[in-house]
Amino acid sequence: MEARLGREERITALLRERFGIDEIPEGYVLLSSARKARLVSTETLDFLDVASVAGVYVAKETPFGPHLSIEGSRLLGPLATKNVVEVDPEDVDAWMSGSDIEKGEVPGVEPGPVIVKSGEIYLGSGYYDGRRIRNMVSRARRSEQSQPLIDYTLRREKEERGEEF
Amino acid sequence: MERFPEGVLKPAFQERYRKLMGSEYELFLRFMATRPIPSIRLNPMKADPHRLRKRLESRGWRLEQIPWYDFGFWVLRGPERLGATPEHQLGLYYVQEAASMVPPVALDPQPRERVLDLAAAPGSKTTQMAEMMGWRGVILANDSNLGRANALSANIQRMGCPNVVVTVRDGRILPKVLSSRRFDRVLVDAPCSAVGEARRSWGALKRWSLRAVRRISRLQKSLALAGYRLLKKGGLMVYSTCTLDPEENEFVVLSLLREGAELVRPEILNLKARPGLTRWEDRELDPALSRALRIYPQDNDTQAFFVALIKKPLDAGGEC
Repeated sequence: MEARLGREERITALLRERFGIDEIPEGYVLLSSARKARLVSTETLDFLDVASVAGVYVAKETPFGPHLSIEGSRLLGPLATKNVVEVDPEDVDAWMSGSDIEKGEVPGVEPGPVIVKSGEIYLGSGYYDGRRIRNMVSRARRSEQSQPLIDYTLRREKEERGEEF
Repeated sequence: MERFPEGVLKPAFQERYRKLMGSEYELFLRFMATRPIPSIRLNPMKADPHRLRKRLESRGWRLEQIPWYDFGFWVLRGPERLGATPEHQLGLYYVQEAASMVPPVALDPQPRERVLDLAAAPGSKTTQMAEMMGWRGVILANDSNLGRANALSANIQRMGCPNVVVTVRDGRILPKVLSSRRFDRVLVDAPCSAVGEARRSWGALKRWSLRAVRRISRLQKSLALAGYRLLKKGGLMVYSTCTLDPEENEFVVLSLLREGAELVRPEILNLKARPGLTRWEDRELDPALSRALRIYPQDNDTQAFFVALIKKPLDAGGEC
């Protein structure tokens, strides 16, 4: 348990140093394995002995600094006081499809890991090199950029008539 | 009948569901032969639902409110692959059939409670309940199958629920595994013959047999009893399936009534539902079963569902 606490203090220190996140939201606890941290509600602690998975993965330590998952950015991002980059709504699709975002120089943001958001929507974290934000969205979470829209009511009507859609 | 490919509707199925549906049998088949309008559940914990709805509509989507759940919407017009959009991948919504949102609404879990979801994968109802609880308290989400539990974990992650723990156990042995730990609310959304899902594909109808129904009914009774044992005295439990066979529904609930459970009629606004059966094949059943809900495809243009809300009396004794 002491080793585990040591790891939790380490990731907490990294989050504080890079993003100014001083504390974990009230009612939640950070649990760390080797380099990954998960956030759980305090009530889940009663079931850790039987759990295969608890709470959500929020952060991991990388050679470049702390990386926040999409959920980590949503849960911890509102507490961050620095290195948060706001992107335009029209950049969200490209970001979620795995593209980097050109930002040029962003005042007050230091090169390194940054939390990426667009309005109230948190988009995870990326690596800001002073010019652009390099994409760190995992492949499993990437989306298709655009899709044709379907009129599902029309499909329904055709199926009712026994026609192909 | 010509709406169904040959061999999909087995004679034994037709006989049984004709008996069940009575004069509405043809109407039932008409709905079973068409896919339902897809639906989504917005995640109020990740984005303001009003703004999110506007965002989707600004992309050309057309949404219609599902009347029994504030954050549920039918997608009248939207992308072909609802599970591949940026908003889906960000966990801003979950693709969930409209009737499948009913069991959590009936259970009504509260923040800071202990909730058990005994057969949780792939996690639509788990994540819905986690959001209803404001990401507070705890849900123990269990599934016996490792592959399905992995899908459950991925959905919990995507929807961002820090108040869920996943266990991979046979639900029937959970009372032993959890020892003296008990829950304020329990959801047993049991594996079933899934006739309700046949609106999406014919697989469930092709696999259907009375023998399989009877086999799964025994499993359902064991799971329901395990869930009931893990319920605190005074606690609430929902037993639900996405099928309509009495052996998988009323007969399972009957086995709980014999353990001293009470049935409560769920208050679900704006949902059309039929009372549970109190008579089946010349057999009179407990009149309390009329408090359960039978949701037929033709009632709300959804999947079929059965939902029973069960209360454990404060003076429940014995092993339960």
